Amino acid sequence: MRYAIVLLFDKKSSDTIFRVFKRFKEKKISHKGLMNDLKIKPHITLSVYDSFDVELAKERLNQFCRNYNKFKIQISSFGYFPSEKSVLFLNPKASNELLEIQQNVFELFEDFETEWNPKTWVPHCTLCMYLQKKK
Amino acid sequence: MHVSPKKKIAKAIEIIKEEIVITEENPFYITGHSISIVEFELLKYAEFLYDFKLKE
Repeated sequence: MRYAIVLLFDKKSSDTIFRVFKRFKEKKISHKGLMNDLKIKPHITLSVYDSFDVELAKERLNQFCRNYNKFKIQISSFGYFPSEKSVLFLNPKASNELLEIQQNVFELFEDFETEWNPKTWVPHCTLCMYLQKKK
Repeated sequence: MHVSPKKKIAKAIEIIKEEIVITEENPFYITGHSISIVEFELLKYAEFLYDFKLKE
């Protein structure tokens, strides 16, 4: 079982991105990587774990979020990772607030193994995956 | 009917541009609102288990 810690957006921002998900589905943009089909909410992934204690995470995040203010994230472009997964994404500006929250989540769960290191983290909000079929 | 990846990407970009207006002068802003724990298996399912709201 894998677990992710993700940053979710306010309703207005999410609704806008949901409309993109819906239209991607209508136009069959991907054969298997549609956020709409996978019931995925618009988000920015902060960290991913193969092994995780959900109850402990609940306690820690409950406390953590009480000390963190909501913040604005600027999306100034969108991009495309032309990898095997061929990911289309919104590209948030790597602001101090965004980098800081990822760093702090990483530190909050540093007793769990993850490859999502702040030094290599690329913030993005996935819109769709697998636009190309595997050859 | 097979649609080439290039055409799919072009169509996807067209949709994004229609739904989300992003220009240098007018960026699109989203608000980081909460943090969630998600249980998932890539391309199979994602369950958003718990949401923790950030402070107002």
